[in-house]
Order: sequence, then structure tokens, then C-alpha cells
Amino acid sequence: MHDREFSDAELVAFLDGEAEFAPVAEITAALARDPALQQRLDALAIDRAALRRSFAMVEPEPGVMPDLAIAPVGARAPIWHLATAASLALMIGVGAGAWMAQPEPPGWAEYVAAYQALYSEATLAHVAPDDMTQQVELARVAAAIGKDIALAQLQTVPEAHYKRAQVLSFDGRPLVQLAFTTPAGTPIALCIIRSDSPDAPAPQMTRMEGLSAARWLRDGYDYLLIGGTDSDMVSRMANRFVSMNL
Amino acid sequence: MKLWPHADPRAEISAGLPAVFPRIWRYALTLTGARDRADDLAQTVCLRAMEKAEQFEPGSKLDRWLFRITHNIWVNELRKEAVRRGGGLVAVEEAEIADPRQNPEQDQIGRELRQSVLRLPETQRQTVMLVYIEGYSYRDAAEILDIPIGTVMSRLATARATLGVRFRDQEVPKHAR
Repeated sequence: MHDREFSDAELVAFLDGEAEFAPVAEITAALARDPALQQRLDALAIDRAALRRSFAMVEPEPGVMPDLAIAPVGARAPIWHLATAASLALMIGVGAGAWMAQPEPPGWAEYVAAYQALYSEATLAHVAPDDMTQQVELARVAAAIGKDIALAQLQTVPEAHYKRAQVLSFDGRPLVQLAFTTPAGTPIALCIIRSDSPDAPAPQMTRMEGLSAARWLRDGYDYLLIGGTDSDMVSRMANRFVSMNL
Repeated sequence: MKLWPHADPRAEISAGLPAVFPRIWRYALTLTGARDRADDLAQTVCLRAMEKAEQFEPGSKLDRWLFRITHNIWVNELRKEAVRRGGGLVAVEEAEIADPRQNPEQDQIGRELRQSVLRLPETQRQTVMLVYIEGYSYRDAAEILDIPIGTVMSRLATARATLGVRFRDQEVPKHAR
């Protein structure tokens, strides 16, 4: 009897032990008669165990996985709490259109507002660094936009308590986020990005994503202060930052 | 119908993710071809998994679900961008993904084996990673990649013919399985 020609796919399924997709009995019987078939099998052979070992050596750096422990279990929307600066940068930078499901990417302030809208009291509750940590962090973050910001300036604002600084990214440009909380726990953020627009140093009050916001432009930087719903307080804070020439 | 209607999918995902994360990251690395982009993709997978937690059926295979999310994010969102930048569909170079903490000379055979997989065309590379590195069955791989089982089989057959030649060239000891 002449053996039928097995396809490479059938032979590979046979080698892979996928009996459901390989004519196992026919191939086994043919192997006993046909040395050329054994040669075809040999040509398709690979060392799966060695391959697996070689990839097992490749591992992520420690700390790459986002901290799921601070995710509020049971809540749906505020998954952004998990976002590290890196993944946020990715979402804003690379995946912007798809992630936000908007055809035209809006300006940076709209992104910041959408991000800030997901902050809750719990977001910054656990952040309590010492002065030294804050000093180092602030210097590093401020350098990303080529700006000097003194910790003391941020700590003298009576309306809210300074918490932390992060570098985010919008459209490949670094964006600094300085996070504060009010005594009631409301998160407020001052975001700064480099800008070529002409100065408009008087804070313009607006409402974005249901949050009170103030925006001004000065000396090549675009500022957005946003958070909570107390527009008077946001306005006072904004004017304070303007007057200290932050 | 859910097997455990009262189980909390978010809790199950949070509990299971750390063990699966290195595998997801490794797969992301072979898709994106660079460690930093693998970080980004794997982190996005975690966020997306928590966001879509209600769609996960507690008690079902978490790893398979996460691989499927990884594949979808890559194909639907990031790949276009990668292709635009000139990456993504081209072969991945081992040098780009090398672990900076490891001495390259200590892992010569491993590097050559990885390189042989990384140089495969993207669709073959994905399928080889899922079946031969991650150990998924043809059926699982077809589900993760959302392709027919016949396509899994033909991709593996083509990849094996290429890999077989490279393995022999490099005199790596080989066994049928």
C-alpha cells in the first residue's frame, strides 16, 4: 500500500502531540515502512525544552508591574489609580485615540482634566513623604520641563497640602503634575507644560470634567490648576501661584 | 452561566496577576521588540484587565484571558503606531531585548535560540511563543489569537521548518519533542 503524503502541518501536530489534529495512527504506521518520512520529521524537529529555558531567562525588571494593592476593589472607573507615570505616558502619548475613543486628540488641558476627574480622596491619602524625599522628587520632576520650583513655595499655600510631583507626558512632551489635597481630602493638581503661546498671566476660571479649573500662561509655560468644585478656592490658589511667580 | 456567581472577579484578577505578569511581559517583549515598550504594553494589560474585570469569569483561566487582552491591545492599538515608527513587523533583534543585568557570554546558546524565534515573521513568532514557550494547546492559541486552528497549524509548520534549519546550523542538540 502506498502511503498518502502527509502535510507539514499534520507532521508538526503529530510532533506536538496534538492527536486531535494529526492522523497519529496513519503516521505511526507509515513511519515503520518509510525512512523518508522519518527524515521529514527530523527536519521539523525543535528542542522545545531548550527554547522554553532560553526565554525563561528573560524577565521584567522588578517594579514594572503596577501596584494592584492600591486599586479600590469594587469600584469600576478609578483604575487610573494603578497608573504609574510610565503607563500613563503610554496611554496619553501612544494610545490616546484608542484609549479615550476620541477621533481628534484634544489639548493637553483636556487630558489632564480627564485624568484628574478620576482622582478621589483615596488617591493621595497614602502619600506622606518627608521633606527630603519631596525635595529630591521635585528637583527631578521640575528639571523635566527645565524649571526651578522650590518646595517651600508649594508648602506655603494655605488652601491645600502639597503631596507629590510626577512627570507625565502629553504628545511626547513632558508634563509636570504637582498634587495637593485640601484639608477635606479633595485632590487638586497643578499641571505645567512648556508652551510657545503668548503670556496670559491672569488665571482664567473654567469648569472641566465637572471640576473647577484655572488656567494661565507665563514665561513659556502653560499652567492648569484643577480639582474639586470650589471655584473660589481654586481661584485663590491660582492667584497665589501667579503672585509667587511659580 | 457563571460557575461561581458570588466570586469577585477583581479580587481573583488581583490575586492571580503577579504570577502571570512575567509571562505577559515576555510575550509583550517579543511583540514590541524593546524592553521599555514591553513595560508599557504589560502595564496597559494590567490596567485593562482591572477595567474589564466584569468580563472575566471567576474560576476560568486567568492567564489565557490576559494573553488575549495583550494580543488585542497590541493588534488594535499599538501595532499601527509601531509600524508607523518602523518597528513591529520587522524581526526583533536579541540585542534590543537583552537583559542589561546579565552577562551576554553566560547565555550564548539561550541567546541564539531566542534570536531564532525573534527573527520569525510576526504572526509565526506570536504562535511559536504561545504554543512552544507558553505551552498552550493549538485550541487555546487559536482562541488567544482569534484565528482558526488550521492557521495555527500552518504557522507552526512554517516556523518549525525555519527553526529546524537554524537549530542544525547552530548545532543545538535537538529532540523531537
